[in-house]
Amino acid sequence: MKRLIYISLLLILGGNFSACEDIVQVDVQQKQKKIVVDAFIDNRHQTQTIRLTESIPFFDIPGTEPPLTTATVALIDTTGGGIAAPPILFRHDSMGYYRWTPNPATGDTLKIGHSYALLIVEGSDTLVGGATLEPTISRIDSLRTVPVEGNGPPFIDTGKYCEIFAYDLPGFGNYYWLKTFRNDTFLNEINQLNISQDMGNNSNGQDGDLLIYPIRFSGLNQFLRPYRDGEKVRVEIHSISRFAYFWFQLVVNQSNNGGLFATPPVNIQSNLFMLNQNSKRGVAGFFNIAAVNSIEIVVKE
Amino acid sequence: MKKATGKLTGWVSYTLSRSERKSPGINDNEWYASRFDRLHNLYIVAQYKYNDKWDLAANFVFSSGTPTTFYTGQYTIQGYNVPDAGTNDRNNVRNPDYHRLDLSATYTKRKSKKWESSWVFSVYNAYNRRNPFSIYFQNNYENTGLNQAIRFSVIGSIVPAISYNFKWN
Repeated sequence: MKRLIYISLLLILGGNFSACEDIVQVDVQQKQKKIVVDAFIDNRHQTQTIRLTESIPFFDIPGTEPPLTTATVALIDTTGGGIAAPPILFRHDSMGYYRWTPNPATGDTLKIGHSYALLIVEGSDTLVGGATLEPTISRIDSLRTVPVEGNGPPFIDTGKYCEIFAYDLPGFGNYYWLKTFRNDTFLNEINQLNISQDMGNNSNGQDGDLLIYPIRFSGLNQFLRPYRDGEKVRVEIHSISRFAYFWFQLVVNQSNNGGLFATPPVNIQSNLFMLNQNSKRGVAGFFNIAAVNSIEIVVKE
Repeated sequence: MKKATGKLTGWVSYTLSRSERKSPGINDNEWYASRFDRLHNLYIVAQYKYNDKWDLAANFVFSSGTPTTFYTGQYTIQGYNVPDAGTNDRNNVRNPDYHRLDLSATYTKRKSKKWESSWVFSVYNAYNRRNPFSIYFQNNYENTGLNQAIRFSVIGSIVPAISYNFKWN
C-alpha cells in the first residue's frame, strides 16, 4: 500500500515540475503604421525596382503587407549642389513595385560618385532621403571551389564549397554587401547576411587587402550545403553606405531578438525622413544605391 | 483585516498601487508603467478548526499582471522580415493576472503527552491555473515565419502534497 502511494506521488509530482510553455494570443495595438521603402537600387543597366508597402501588425502573417500603389517616386541627381538632370521617375508596375529602366544610349544611367535624392509623395505624406553611388570592389581575382572534409560542425558534409578572392579598395570606409546566388536563387538566410567593412568585420585597421576568411568563404556557403557539379554560383559585391552597414546589423539584431531574455524592442532608424510633422504614419526601410561587380562560375571537376 | 477568535480565523489584505518610471530617452520622455507595476494585490488566508483532530486552511492570492514590451508591427524588406517597435512605447503589454488557491487539511494525532504527530494533505494551485512567469514574443517561431507570444509558466499546474510532522519532548 505504501509503495502504491509513493509511485502515484512520483507520477503526479514528476510530471508537474516541468516548466510549461504555451502559445497564447496577445492583443498588441499597432498604433502607428509605417510606410516601408525598399529602395536598394544599383547602377547596372537593367530595370531598377523600388517597393513601397505599409507595415502590418506584429502577429499577422508575414508577407501580407499591403502595397502602396499610387505614390510618386522620383530620383533626383543632386551632384554639384543643384539638380543636375531631369528627375528620374519610377513608374508603378504592380503590387507596390515601382520600376525604371536605364538607357545607356541616352546617358540615362546612374553615375558613380554622384549623389542622389529620393523623393516619395504618398497620399498626404512626403518622404525624402539621400544616397551616394560609391564604387565597389573592382578587383575580383577569382571565385573558386574548395574541397572540404566534413569532419564536424560547422561543415558536416564533405564536398565543394565556394571562396571568392577579392581585394578591398584602398582607403578606409568602404562598405560592401556580398550576395551569393546559387542557380540564380539568392541565399537569403538573415543570420548569414554577408556584409563587410573594408576587408573585415569592424574597423580594426584592415584596409586594401584580400577579404578576410569569414567574408570570402563562410558567407558564401549558407546552410553549409556543398555545391554540386553543374550548379551555377554567382557572387555580387554591392557597395553600401556606412549607414546601410549599421542598418543591416540592426536588422539582424532585431530579427533575432526574442525569447525569455529578449532586450526591449527598438526601431531601426531609416535614412528616409517624413517631411510633415503631423503625419499619422512613420517611415521604415532604407535607400541605397550600389555599384555592383560580380563573378559567376559553374561548379565542375 | 484580521479575525483572531472563533472557529474561523484568518486575515485579508488588499493593496492598490501604481508604479511608473520616467527615464530620459525612453518612451519619448514620458511616464511609463514600471516593471513591477501591479495594480491590485489581494491576499486572503482562512483557517477553520473543524474538530479536535482536523484543521482546514485555505489561502488565495491575486495579483494584477506586470507589463512587458512587445513589438507592435513588422515589415518585409529585401526578402527579410523585420519587427517594428511602432512609436517606441515601453511596457505596452500586460501579462495576465496571477491568482492561485491553496488548500490544506491537517490531521493531528495525539498519542501521548510526549509525542505529537500530524499529517498534512495539501493542494497547491488547486484549480490548476497556468500562471505566467512571463509572456515573451518569439520571432519566426519554429520556422513558420509567424511571430508568436509564448506564455512561460513555472509550476503551472496543480501540485498535491502530503507531509508528516512530528515532535516529542
